[in-house]
Amino acid sequence: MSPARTVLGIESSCDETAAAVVHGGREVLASVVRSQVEEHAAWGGVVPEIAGRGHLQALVPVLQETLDAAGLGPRDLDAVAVTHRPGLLGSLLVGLSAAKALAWAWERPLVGVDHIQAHAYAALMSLEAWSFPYVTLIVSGGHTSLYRTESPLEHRLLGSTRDDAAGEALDKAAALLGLPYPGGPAIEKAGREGNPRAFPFKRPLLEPDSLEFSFSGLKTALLYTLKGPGGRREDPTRPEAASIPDLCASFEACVAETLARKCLRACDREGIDRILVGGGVARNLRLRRTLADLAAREGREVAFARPEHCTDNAVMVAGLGHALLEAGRVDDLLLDARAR
Amino acid sequence: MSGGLEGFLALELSGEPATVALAAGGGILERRIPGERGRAVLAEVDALLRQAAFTKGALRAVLCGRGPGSYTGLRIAAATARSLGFALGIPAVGLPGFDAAAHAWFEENPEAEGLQLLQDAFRREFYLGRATPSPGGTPAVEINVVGGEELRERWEPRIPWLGDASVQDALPPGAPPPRAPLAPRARDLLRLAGALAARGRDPQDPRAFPPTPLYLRPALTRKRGQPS
Repeated sequence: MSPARTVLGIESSCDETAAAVVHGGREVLASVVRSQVEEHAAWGGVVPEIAGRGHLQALVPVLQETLDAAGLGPRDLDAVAVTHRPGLLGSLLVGLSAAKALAWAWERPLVGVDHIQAHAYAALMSLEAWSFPYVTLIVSGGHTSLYRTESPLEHRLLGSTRDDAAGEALDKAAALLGLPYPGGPAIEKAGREGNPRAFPFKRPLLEPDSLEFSFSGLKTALLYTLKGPGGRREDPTRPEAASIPDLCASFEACVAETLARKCLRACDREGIDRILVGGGVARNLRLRRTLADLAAREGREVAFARPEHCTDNAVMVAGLGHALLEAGRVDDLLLDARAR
Repeated sequence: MSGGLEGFLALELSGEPATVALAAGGGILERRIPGERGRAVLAEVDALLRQAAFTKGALRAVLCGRGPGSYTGLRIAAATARSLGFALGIPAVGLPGFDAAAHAWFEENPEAEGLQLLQDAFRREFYLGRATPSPGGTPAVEINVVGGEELRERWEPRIPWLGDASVQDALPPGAPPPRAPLAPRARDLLRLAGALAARGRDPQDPRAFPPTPLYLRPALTRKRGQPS
């Protein structure tokens, strides 16, 4: 087995510019994340052109800060790993261009990383030891998918969303409720004191054997709830303030329970008792509690990515980059960015 | 002619053809970047240095084209230039492609009194550049984003222009065809940098020549809750 190596990771697939240095795929030597959330909040969502401009401004300062924090120089690095898919093309290209330049200038291998697989790796990093296979749920503002994971590099898709991602549904629900962007944390905060059973939204579990997701109907159900009986309320974006905590708690509980039940359904179908969860929505406490409780009842184990590694970061990119490097899977300077 | 610029690397990705160029051995070597979105820019830089028998450690500055043009291409060029500058410990700077194209044209047409540069900016708008020569110096170039009506109002029929023939339909009836396509090249950036240096400007100063695309339009115009 080759000695553990030190990898610089770069992430720019959406609205976070991040860099990290990780040794041996697990030991985090430095991690810097610069979020653009305030720049996008006024638009209620990520604006690709704003994101691309922001990445270009932030990238070199983030790289400098990361290497300074790690106390390392180019000679100490063994490879440069970068997210090259999926994501916003204009954003991916900024990080990818930078990674190519560093790899070429420092004469180090370039390793292209899949963002979804990196989120799964973030969940693996939370475990002391790995025991494959796992059912893996990746849930964020852009992705909601279930996989069968055989190794850090082998993920077979079991099902994904037919329409909105779970995080996207939370963002849209927050917009309907007049809550700020990003919607997931806003709903979680507003619903903390609410009754999750106050509004019995139907769980969108689809066909009995389906491992796919669909959250667009849930969003419509919220809209009709806001319009009131007979759709009389003229401005559904202004619900009675007293109902907001209950609406948030109920909506969030519906999303969490749907995600949890699908994970358990995947475990049944695949004959697996271990679940990994990663992605930005994996930070959500109601999802963590719901899935942990339901899994425990069935004697199943759940591992969530650490909260700081749920939202986009470069630790997971450097970590997975190390696994790819170990497997000899490196790329050349013609590596391209891909939106999907 | 590039003696003072020896070791300057230029990246121009504002449109087609995308090019990279190197000032080396007293001259300028240039290569076209094949494929889409500048995917091969670093591979071509590598090939360019090999062709020139030049080591990356001997590079003195990286210069990117600032546009106007494709934001994607401009950002790839700027991200590459900035990161190369960071990695190699050398300055990264930027110059507008319109200025470089105008400078190259005035060098070849020293009798010309002015030049218009026209490029489709999409969304029914155009990048309109107006350049005037400066004897022994670099041209003054003003660049604006204009709609079709404003373009026709501001168009100077007696001043020659560079641009793609496809934008000719937007011009007033009877406008002559372009003298040449508007295609700034990496070698033009180096020639402009050389002219700036000859006039006492420092082409390695990123405060004077920032490696940032010319963003002539806002990223988005409508905020949440505002009517479309």
